[in-house]
Amino acid sequence: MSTVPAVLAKGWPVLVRREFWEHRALWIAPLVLAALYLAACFMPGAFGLGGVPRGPLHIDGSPLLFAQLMFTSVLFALMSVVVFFYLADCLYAERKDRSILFWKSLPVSDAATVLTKLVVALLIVPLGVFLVAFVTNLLAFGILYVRLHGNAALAPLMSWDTAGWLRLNGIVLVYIFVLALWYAPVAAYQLLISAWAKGSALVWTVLPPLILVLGERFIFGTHYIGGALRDRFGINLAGIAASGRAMRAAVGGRRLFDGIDVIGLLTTPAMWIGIAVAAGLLFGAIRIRRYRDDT
Amino acid sequence: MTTIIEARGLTKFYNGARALDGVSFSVAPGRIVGLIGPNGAGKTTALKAILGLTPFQGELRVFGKDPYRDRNAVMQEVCFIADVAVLPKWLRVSQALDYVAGVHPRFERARAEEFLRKTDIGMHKRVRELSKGMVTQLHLALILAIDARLLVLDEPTLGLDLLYRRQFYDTLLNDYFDKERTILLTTHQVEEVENLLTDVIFINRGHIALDSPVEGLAERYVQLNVRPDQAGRARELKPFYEREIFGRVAMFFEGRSSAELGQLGEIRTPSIADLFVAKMQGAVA
Repeated sequence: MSTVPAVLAKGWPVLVRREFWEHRALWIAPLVLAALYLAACFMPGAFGLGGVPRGPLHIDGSPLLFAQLMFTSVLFALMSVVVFFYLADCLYAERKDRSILFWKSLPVSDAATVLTKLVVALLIVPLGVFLVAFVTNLLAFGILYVRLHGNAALAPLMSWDTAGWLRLNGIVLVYIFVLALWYAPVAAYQLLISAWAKGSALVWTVLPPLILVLGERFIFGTHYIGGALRDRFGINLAGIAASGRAMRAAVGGRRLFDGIDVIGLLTTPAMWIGIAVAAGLLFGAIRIRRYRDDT
Repeated sequence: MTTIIEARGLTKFYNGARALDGVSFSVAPGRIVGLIGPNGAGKTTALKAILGLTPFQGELRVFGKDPYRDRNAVMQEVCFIADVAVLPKWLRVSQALDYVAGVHPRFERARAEEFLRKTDIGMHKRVRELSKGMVTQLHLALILAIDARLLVLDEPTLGLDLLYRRQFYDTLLNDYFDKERTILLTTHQVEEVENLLTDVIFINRGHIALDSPVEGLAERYVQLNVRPDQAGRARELKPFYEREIFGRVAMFFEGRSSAELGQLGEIRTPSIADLFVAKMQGAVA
């Protein structure tokens, strides 16, 4: 295995680029959504800005930050769906189109291949989506600022809060890394299924958890597995934004994300059990790809 | 220089059946070896073992290393084109070059580009837009630009028309092969590679039926075409295979001198294709 770091050091960038060549939805989908959002900012009636306010506005917190958080959350929700399909497909597609032996004819180890896909799904795509959200939010602000310039009634909506803006983006960034660890077992499970599945990888991804949850429920009458899955998927960026507390915090400006406990999440046993499970599943995925060919 | 491939007692079971049954052979540097056998003979199994794609029993060394255990190290020195190693349809030609350049330390991009310029393949085309012949040209361009010491070809020209097939082997000989390099290839179209090979290994039902340099074949094997009335006398010399062509009987002998057989009829050196058929059919009889 001594050659793995050597290959990684030299080939790493192109291994990542290859994922975006093959799975174009990874970058097209977020860009399309961002473009639609910016187009919407030009529409006359966008965000109810077309109407004339009845009486003076009550501005509570920062509507601008709230809008930015909402767009970021929607973008990450879309990304989650795209990445889910990517992980189901990535090691299955190379067997389906019989290109696996071409990839294997080059000096790239199975470990490098599988780990690249994991890092793309958990870190590179989220960081790219963060960048898209960051730039889009600034552009949207610019568009709306110009549109509302000189409108005495509505211009206060565009009041800029640098501290809140930095906090919002900083917290999203921290959350990307924390959520990457939190979702590592899910991604590793998907890679294992994708490397193993003979038929539809998507069906095989969903079926085992479904059988386990329903089986537990009907045989033992308990809900431990279902509960564990609910807890796992309950923590995500969209969920955080949608929770009443985060909304209030966003509107309340300074208290943005106050209620979110990164340290607590990092120190919960569920996090570290998940990481251990992820390591085991990844090891399995790498072993399976080692044996698999087009047959 | 040391041997490139050394197999001793190479054995592989597939679903309880022996795909390879204690096969031993070696491949020296600078040779072009044809691994020839009927379907299901164990050719692809042997190649897969050499390429480290499948575990095996017995001893197998490629560049002195175990290809399964040390696959990553061995694959720095080995390239392969297999009928089943398909280039993905979504890949662009330029991306294929970028990718191999990025992961292979011995890839010389300019060489591949030069080769592609001689073809009709556009840099921005996707594999799905190319004909099967062009895809093989692209694959060949990638492989030729890699300074690998062993090239393994498994049915590389399957499904190509005659022009592409001829061009493929010409390019291989002119632009790739030299004394430092070794080629191991399997194909059904034995006639097309006959003049290319320096060595042949016939494999049948997991066993080696013949392993010889091509130069040695003419001395060892003789084809005798006799008139039917002479056939009885010729049969006393124990041919290992015979068949009728145009009213003559073609008999194949091993280890008989041409002088001895020449009195009975017309002497010929069997082609590799004829010898292959004789060996395989003779084994059945």
